[in-house]
Amino acid sequence: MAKHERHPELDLVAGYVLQALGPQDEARLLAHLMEGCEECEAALRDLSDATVAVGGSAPSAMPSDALRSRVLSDPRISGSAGASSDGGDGRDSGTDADARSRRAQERTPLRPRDGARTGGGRAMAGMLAAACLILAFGNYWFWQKAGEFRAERDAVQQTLREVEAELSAKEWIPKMVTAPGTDCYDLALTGSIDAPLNGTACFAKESGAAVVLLAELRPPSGRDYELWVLRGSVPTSLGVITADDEGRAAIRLDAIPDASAITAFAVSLEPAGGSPEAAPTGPVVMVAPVTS
Amino acid sequence: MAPGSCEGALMNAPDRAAADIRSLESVANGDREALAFLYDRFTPLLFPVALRITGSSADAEDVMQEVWVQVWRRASSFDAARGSVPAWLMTITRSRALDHIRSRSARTKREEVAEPPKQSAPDPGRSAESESVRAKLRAAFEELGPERAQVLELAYWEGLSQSEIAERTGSPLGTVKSWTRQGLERMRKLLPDGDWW
Repeated sequence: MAKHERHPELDLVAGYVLQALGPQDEARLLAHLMEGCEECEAALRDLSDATVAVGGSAPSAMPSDALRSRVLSDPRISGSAGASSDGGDGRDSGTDADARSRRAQERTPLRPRDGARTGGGRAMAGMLAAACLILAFGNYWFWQKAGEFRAERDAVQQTLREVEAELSAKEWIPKMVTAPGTDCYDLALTGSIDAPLNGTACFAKESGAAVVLLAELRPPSGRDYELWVLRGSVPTSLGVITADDEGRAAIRLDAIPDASAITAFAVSLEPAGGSPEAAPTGPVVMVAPVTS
Repeated sequence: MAPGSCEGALMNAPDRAAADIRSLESVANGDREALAFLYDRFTPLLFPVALRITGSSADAEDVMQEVWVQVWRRASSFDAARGSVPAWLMTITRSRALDHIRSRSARTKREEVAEPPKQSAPDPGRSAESESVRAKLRAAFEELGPERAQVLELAYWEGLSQSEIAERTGSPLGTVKSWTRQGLERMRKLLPDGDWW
C-alpha cells in the first residue's frame, strides 16, 4: 500500500490495459512510461495478462466451422502481411531516367561536317570553302543560340519545378489531414510544465505519413521542444521543433518507419539542440496516444 | 513456421509462449499457415469474449473475422515486453467487439433478423477442463466483492471509461481506479499457466 501511495501511476496502468482511461490520464501514464518506469512496465505486463483471466470467465463457445475458411480466404489476408507499399521508387526512377535522357540529348555533340572535296577548279573550291565557312559559322551561331535557349529553358523549367514543389508542399498538409485512413489526435498536456501549449497529430498508420501542428511553442531560454514517437514505451526522436515567430509549427513527416507499431506522439522539453540521449531527458509535456 | 500439433502438445508453458511469438513473427512475414495455426489455437479463448460482448453468434463471427484481419495486418506491432500473445489477441478481440456493439446500437439487433450460425462442438475432453477453469475464474470474479466486480464488469464487458463508471456507480474516480487495479491483480493471480482454454 505504501508503494501504491508513492507511485500513483500504478492505478492508471489497470485502466490503461482496459482502455478505460480518459485522455488526460492516458497522456500522463504514457509520459510516465516514456520516462522509463520499470515498475509500471512490469505492472503493464502483469495486468495485461490479467485481462485474459477476466475474459476467460466467459462461458465456453466455438464459432461455426465455416468461419475458419471465411477468415483464411478473406481477400484482406493475402500477400505480405504489414508490407508497406512504396510507390515512390518507380516514379523517382522514371524521373531520373527522363532527366538522364534529357541530359544525354543535350550532351549529344553536333556532328562535324565532312568537308570532303569533290574535285573541280580553285574558284569552285574557294566558293565551296567560303560556303562551308559560312555554313560552319551559321551552324556555330545556331549552336551557340540553341545553347543559350536551352540554358534559358532549363532555368525556367527549374523555377517551374521549384514553384510546383512549393505548391505541392502547401497542398500536402490539408490533403494528408483529410485523406481516408488519417486520424487526428489531440496532444494533451501532461501538466509537467505550466505552459499553454496545444497541438494535434494527424497520422495515417498505413503509410506512416503524419503532420504535427503545434501552437504556443515558446521554450524557455536555452531549451528546445523535441518531438517523439513511442512504440510501446520505446521513444524515437523525430527532431527538435522549430516554431515561427508566433510560436507555431507544422511538422511534415512523409513516412515514419515501422508506423504500425506507433502508440503515441509526444513532445518533451530538452536542452537547446535536443536530448543528448536516445530518450527524453527533460519533462514530457504533451502526449497524444494513437488508438488502433 | 507454426509448430505442429504433436510438437505443441509436448511443450511446456514458456516454450508455448515462445512458439506463439514465433508464430506471430511468421504472420508478420506473410505466413498464412502461421495465421491458421494461431486461429486454431486461440479461437476457443477469443470467441467466447466476442460472443459475451456482442450477445450474438453471427456478430461474434463478424468480430472474429475483423480480429484476424487486424492480426494479419498488425502482427509486427506486437511487443512481447508489454504482454503475452494471448493478452494481445484478447485486447484486440475485446476492442473490436466493443466497437461492433457501439456501431450496432442504432441498428436492429442482428439476431432478430438473421439465422444465427451453427456453432461447432468443442472437443469434449478439452471443454471439460476449460469449463472447470472458467467456472473458477467466474467464482473468483464474484469473490472480488460487489464493488470491484461491478467496476471490472463495466470496464471490461461494457467498455465504459473510468469516469463513466464513477458517474454510473456514484463512486469517486480515484476509488474506481484503485478497485480496477486491485480487481485485475486478484484475477491475475488465479490465471493458470498453460493452455487451459
